[in-house]
Amino acid sequence: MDALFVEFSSRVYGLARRFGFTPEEAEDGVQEVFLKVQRKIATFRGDAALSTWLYRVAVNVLRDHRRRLQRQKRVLPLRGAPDQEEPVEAGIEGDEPSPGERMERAERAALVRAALERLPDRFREVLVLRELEGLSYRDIGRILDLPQGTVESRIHRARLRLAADLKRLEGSL
Amino acid sequence: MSRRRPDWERRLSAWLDGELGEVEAREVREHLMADPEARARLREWQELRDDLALLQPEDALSPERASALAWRLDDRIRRETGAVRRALGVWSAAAAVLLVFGLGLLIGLDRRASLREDAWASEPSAVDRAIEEWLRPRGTAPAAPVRPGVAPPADLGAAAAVGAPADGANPRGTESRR
Repeated sequence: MDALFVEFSSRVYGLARRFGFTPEEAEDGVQEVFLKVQRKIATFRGDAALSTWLYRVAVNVLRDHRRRLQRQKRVLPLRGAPDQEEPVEAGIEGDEPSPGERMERAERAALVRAALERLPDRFREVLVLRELEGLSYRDIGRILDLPQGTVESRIHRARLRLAADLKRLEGSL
Repeated sequence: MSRRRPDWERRLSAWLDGELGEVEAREVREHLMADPEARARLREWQELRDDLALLQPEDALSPERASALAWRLDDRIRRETGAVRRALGVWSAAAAVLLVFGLGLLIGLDRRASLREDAWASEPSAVDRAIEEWLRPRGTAPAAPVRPGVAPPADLGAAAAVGAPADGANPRGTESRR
């Protein structure tokens, strides 16, 4: 379990953040995910990669976690507005960006995060799993329990929607 | 004109992800060469990919936070395991008490039933005695109850022997009809 936590906790945390959780909510989410993993690890049959199985557990637990948070807050406030977002600290190694570039990137990241937040869950999940987790359509299908054709079509629609939302947000600034 | 989005868009999206087979991928490449709209769409999605990549660094969990999280998780697992163990202990104890009580009840009932049978076999109840008294002709002595499998008292046996003829004739002296 410890090895599993070391290996995957950061990935689960990243997933939670990209699904729209604040850092504190994401940490709670990681805890919930690994509690579930601890309870269910005996059911892992090994017919898929361990990481795929873990993503599946993580996505399901994070969905429940999000629903619980939404019930608590009634309305989940839109996070990631440019003035709320913390600046991006890390730059590309060996190519340190200037303060101006860093600021620009942070603003852009906040905008992207806000647009991603606006996507319906079904689109956000596939896009995050594909673009940020780098998973194949087949693995995404296994994680979300969807046929591969549905994954393909959802990713396409998610891209169109995100691009349109980003344009709208840029226009509103 | 169809309102549906052209199918090549969907295939372009899959091509961008490297999810198409060789033949389909070649078709998409040919389409890209021929259609500026398709190239514009591809550029848009590549920019989108770059935009999404901006979210990567800030979404990392620092080693300090990771170890704090691991500690919290361990603590919670220990507490949950302890709670489950305690609950199991309480339920086991309750089950044992119920089992002992149930067994005791069964044994007690069984014992009581056998005592009652003994009492029935040895002595008539007050109700039996009252009924016998009521049925008995006046002036005759009360007969001891005769129960199946129980030998009559010696004096009653003698009285019966005196009253009953040895040849099995009618004790009232009336002749039986043949």
